[in-house]
Amino acid sequence: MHETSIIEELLAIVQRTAEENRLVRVTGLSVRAGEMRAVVPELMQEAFTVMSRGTLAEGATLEIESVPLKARCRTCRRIVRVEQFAFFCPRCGKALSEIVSGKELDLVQVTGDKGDSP
Amino acid sequence: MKVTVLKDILDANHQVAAQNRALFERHRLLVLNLMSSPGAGKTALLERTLRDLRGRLRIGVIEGDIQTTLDARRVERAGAAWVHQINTRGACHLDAGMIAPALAGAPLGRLDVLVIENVGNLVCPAEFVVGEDHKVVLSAVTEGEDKPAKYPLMFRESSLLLVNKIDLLPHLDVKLAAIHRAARRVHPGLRILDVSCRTGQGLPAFYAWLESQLERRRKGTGRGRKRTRA
Repeated sequence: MHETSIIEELLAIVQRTAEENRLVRVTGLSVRAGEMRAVVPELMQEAFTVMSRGTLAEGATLEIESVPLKARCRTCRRIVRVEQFAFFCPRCGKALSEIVSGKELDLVQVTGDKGDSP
Repeated sequence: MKVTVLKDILDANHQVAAQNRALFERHRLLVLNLMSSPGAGKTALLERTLRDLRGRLRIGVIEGDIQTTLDARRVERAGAAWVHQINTRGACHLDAGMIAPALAGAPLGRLDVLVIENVGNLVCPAEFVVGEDHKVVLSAVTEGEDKPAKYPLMFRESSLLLVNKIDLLPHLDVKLAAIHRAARRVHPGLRILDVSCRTGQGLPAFYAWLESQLERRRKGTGRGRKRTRA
């Protein structure tokens, strides 16, 4: 459900980026979404298709890369993959407190066409 | 042409949240973002707290609901020092930009605590900071034992879990220990209090937590604990 709010914010950043770089059309976007963010890619795509209509990004491809959830174990200092959101080190069994990846929700890249020179 | 942006998509919300937070800090106000699924007892917790702490703490409430002003009226009757209702008109969560205009006319200097009661939902509210000191999640025993596993972000981001409706335990096949275990799986060390907003059981521990957090806030030590953000 929060996908529509995320797409709304995304389109605002895309619009600004396009203006700053004088893009007349946006053809592709790449987004990185951490596992912790509970983003459903299909819902993101649907929201994007509907909400981008009439904007510079209409028809653009939206690529969503999922970032695995990883945390550092304070005891053994290893960075481990957090499976099933269980924040315990699989090696030493201690609690994992420091998330090193998997919480990001970033617009990484915008691809588009420049307008013809006037 | 490719343009590298590398920007947090929710950056605009973070910025407004930081402005809200600066305002709260100026008034040395303790601010809680109260979240749960619909019907877990957020408003009941507020009513009980307001009645029990009348004369001890001046509590203001921002009510977030998709529709109606029913909850605002309930907390007003219970003795809230200030109440503001936000109707999100369909949005399933509050964000910082909805809170900011509500603060414009608020008597923040005359409050000790501001509770922002979010829209009943265990997913989206966890995504949007509003400038709070703490997220507090409420989960009723009637919701079963698996909510933390199903909605990890909410339980991971919260400083305190209140397990509500424990007076109903004799009628349910639910074990408190299993709820605690599930919550601490996603958030080791999470502070958990078992309460009943109907009977009042366990609530004095919540009030003590509230007062200790307020004291911390007044001393300027800010949040009770450091958070690691990726």
